[in-house]
Amino acid sequence: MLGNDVVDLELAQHQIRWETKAFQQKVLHPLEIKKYKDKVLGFTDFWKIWSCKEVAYKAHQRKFNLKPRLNPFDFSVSEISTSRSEVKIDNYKCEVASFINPNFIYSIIHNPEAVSSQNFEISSYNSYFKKDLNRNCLNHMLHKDKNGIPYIKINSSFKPISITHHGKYVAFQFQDKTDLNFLWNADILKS
Amino acid sequence: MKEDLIIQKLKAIVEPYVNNQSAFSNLSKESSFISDLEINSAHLVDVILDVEDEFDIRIENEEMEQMTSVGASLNIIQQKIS
Repeated sequence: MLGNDVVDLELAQHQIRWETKAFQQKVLHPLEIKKYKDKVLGFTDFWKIWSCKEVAYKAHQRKFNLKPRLNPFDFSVSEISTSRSEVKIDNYKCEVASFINPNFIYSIIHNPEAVSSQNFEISSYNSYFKKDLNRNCLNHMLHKDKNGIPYIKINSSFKPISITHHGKYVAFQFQDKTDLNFLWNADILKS
Repeated sequence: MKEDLIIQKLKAIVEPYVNNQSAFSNLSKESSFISDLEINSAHLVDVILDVEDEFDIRIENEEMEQMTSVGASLNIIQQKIS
């Protein structure tokens, strides 16, 4: 399963409508609307929910090879702990890990090996996350299928990749650690 | 409202959120908001809210989920304002 999402919290500050009822009604699942009706949903909480939905959307879309849809309201997020959530859509569910700090939220399909390090970089056996990473370095290797699902061409074969980019942050997640190692050794993952 | 005018208004709505300027200058009905124009998905929600305000319509969830391209959005706006 692949899915990752980063929210640059500085950029999200400019998304001034997140707090409005109109915006939240288009994003939250009916159960979430009910849950947060009488509670104040804070800035970080809202964007963590959003980020978990994005992760689940990417994993679900790839698994079932679906056309792009704008349906955040179909995903319901329940918190297991501050950094772990379960996301459900129809009969599909997945667990998402979120790394939260004052600068960003990075969410990824749960993987016990993912750890957050002190310099705000997150390492995981199959993902690469960095501030100010130049995304263009990978662009010439990227391909999207008819549904817009991304793949990366490595040694003439197409490997699944999940990409997220928001503000200052870019992150990639690969199916195999070997793909990450290949790009690293080829000096493609440069800042 | 004529199709050209709707597309013109839609173009003005999406412009502030577009990350791929060359795709924007070649905008057509086939342009996908996500994979071509590279609009951040949170901003797609802004696009929907802006469309509601601009055309004075209410977009239901089942309509919103289809609004991932210029053409699909055009169809929904046309149905709503006719």
